[in-house]
Amino acid sequence: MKKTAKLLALVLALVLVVSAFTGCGGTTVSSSTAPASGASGSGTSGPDISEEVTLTMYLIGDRPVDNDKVFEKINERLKEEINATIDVKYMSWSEYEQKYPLIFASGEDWDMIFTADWCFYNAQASKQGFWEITPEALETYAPMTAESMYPEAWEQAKVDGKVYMLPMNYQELTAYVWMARGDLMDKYGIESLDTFEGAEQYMQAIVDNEPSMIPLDVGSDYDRQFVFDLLWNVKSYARDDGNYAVLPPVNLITCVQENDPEANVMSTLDADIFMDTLNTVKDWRDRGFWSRNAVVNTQNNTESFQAGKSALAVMNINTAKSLYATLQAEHPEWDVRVFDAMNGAPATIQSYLANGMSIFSKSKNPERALMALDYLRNDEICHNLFCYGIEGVHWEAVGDHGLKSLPDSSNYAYDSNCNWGVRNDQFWRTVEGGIPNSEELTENWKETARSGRYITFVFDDSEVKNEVAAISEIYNSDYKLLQLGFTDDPAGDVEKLKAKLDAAGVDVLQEAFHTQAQAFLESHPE
Amino acid sequence: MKRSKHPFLQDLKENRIKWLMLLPAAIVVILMCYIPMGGIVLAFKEYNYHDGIFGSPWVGFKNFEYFFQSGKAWSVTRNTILYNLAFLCVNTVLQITCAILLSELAGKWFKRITQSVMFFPYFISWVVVGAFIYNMFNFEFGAVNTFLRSLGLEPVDIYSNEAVWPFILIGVSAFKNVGYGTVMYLASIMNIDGQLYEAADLDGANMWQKIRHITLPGIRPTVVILFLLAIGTIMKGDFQMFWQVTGNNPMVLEVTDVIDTYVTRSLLQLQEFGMTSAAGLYQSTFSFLLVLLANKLVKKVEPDYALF
Repeated sequence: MKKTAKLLALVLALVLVVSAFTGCGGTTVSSSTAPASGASGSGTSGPDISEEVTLTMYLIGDRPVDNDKVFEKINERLKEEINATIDVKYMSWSEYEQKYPLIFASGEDWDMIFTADWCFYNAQASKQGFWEITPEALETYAPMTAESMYPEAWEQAKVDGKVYMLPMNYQELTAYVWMARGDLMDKYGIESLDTFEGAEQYMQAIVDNEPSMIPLDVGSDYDRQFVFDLLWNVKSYARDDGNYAVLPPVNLITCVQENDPEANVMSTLDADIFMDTLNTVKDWRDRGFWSRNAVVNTQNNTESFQAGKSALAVMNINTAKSLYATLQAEHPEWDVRVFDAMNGAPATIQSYLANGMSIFSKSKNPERALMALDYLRNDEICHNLFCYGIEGVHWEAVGDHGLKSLPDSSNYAYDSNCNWGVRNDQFWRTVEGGIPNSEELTENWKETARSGRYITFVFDDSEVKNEVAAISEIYNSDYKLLQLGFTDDPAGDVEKLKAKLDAAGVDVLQEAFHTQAQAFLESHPE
Repeated sequence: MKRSKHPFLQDLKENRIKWLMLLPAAIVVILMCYIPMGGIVLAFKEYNYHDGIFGSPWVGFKNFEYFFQSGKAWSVTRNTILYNLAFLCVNTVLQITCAILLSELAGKWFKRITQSVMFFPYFISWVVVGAFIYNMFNFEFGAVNTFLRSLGLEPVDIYSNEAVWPFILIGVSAFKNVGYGTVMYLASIMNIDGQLYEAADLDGANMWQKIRHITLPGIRPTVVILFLLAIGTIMKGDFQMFWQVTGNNPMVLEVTDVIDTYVTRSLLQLQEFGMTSAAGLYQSTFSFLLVLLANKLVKKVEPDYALF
């Protein structure tokens, strides 16, 4: 009897073990990937397009309703020209930070992906995640791109002297704007949000009178740093002896005074404007301008605004353009208004790397992918379909450089389908009937806009990987809290954070930054 | 019985049904656990996508440095072990208690229904549990605070309060796992010879005495084996649970970060597969040593019940 009991117990235990092992892949995710299957480039001499291929393209965002209709048209064209079709896959904004690196390691078969300096370009390029685009390949497979690409863009895209991305062919100006509810502004007698005082009054009015709303519902994802970054920039440019440049990548919290010929780098915590910025965000948080649970909120502030849960959103002007059109259609009663949030700080001329397209290093058809990208960028039909949708359904042309969004554009909105990597100045159209004060905003910024001194600086972290790992961890935990103003004792918490940074080896990291920044200044004289 | 020259083959022949029953489990273990072990080499490599796992260059023990340099090694190890010990003790006690209560219950229907209801949470995904927790505890619109406000009390800010998280985590772990374990113990109790109870009844034993002297000793093998298995996973945080329930909240990371969440976070941020594999290897090595140790202890005390 006892024997049977023991056996039964054992069988039961085995059942438990087996069920427990279904989660066994957790820490060994990476090890289930297939090993490299040989070199990726095949040695064809000229474009051989006899074999029909389907290319898989990864984009970021939510799948537009009419995506398939648009790509059916694009594919018609591509099939005719290069005997290839594109199958599009989307990863949503809420998951791309996790998913993006994993699809490279997953062994999945795909070909092209959206990338950018803010979207893993350097990290994936230095881990050989992308197929190298040589000048010869460009000449052979993407002749139109070879002709139209801005030379600066090509230079900027180099990582260790090699290019892995086709940066957008488009000069972009970015600046932060506020998007507010006109109906609520009128209700509480707020005139304008052009100054921080106006914005504060508005948010305070919401806190006091609209208990069901959060004034500015910032999330814990990429938009968590918008408010901090905005305040930091304004204070930085207001300084008398030169502004600070936060060196990329931002997760290493290192900055340098832009006009410093010695390039003496320091931690952002040591910059004289840090405490001031921190005190403002802390004040805003304490007044309830964003949720006490902002650090666990995975919805970003534009989504929350769109859902009517918050009264204000901060975003860059390009996001605002497309969101404005959508909201005008969905909620005309909100009377959405857009205000310049820059408070005198200059707008930034984006690096070309702010958007681009790359090819996967293990793509089975990298050449054909390059040809397809060539068409998406430089063929007016493909470019316009991808960027604006189907003419006559989603938009109609107004003159040579304008377009009008048609009602169906809510199913495929203007310039908001992760098409940014193929934007081309040559075919670019701006929306008529977009933000009413758009002209005025852009005029203001154009005069002062500048591209930062260090905008093309690329940090080589190969010698300091352990420090990078340790400091990124701090950035994503303790520093993230400060950026959202979560501190009851600013001075004390900053001191604690500095001690942690010291322990993580910030000296070694800054040494490396200093050397590289000096070298950068020498090779890139103003 | 006639002994064959190959006792294993003989056994295979005699007990072929039992071996067959073992086969699926064995295949799963080999596929999911033994084959991926090859990936351990990653811990000593600087991984790149192009050369893959086996082609990437070797870097020796460099990947291990980051784990210790980040100053996190100690706190995440401590959290992992303490949480698992707490889960183990709390869940085991609750499971055994529930199993005994259920076995003593008379009504067949009531018993069945209770058992099913208790088992149900096991099937709820942690993502959903995380959403429950968020909707209960979020500061502005959470159920708890809405209730407190309606009573005119001050709302509480759970998400920035380190002290309550260990209790929340232990609570949700029990919520999800007690039903499952109860069924295992209940099966083990059902297996105890009914004659023992009849004899005890004749001797005039009351319910407590029967539980104390028949039921508990009867399920001891199950308890020991489950306990041993749990020791083996004591270095392994239930990733889903810690990640989803706390929402990866940096405010309380000091008390909720376990090795698994730490590894995942650094993997997502840095994509340094080598470094995270190194942390994983550290974890597995410790687990392995713990199993050996625990088994040795059991062997000393109760040689019959040791796993190997």
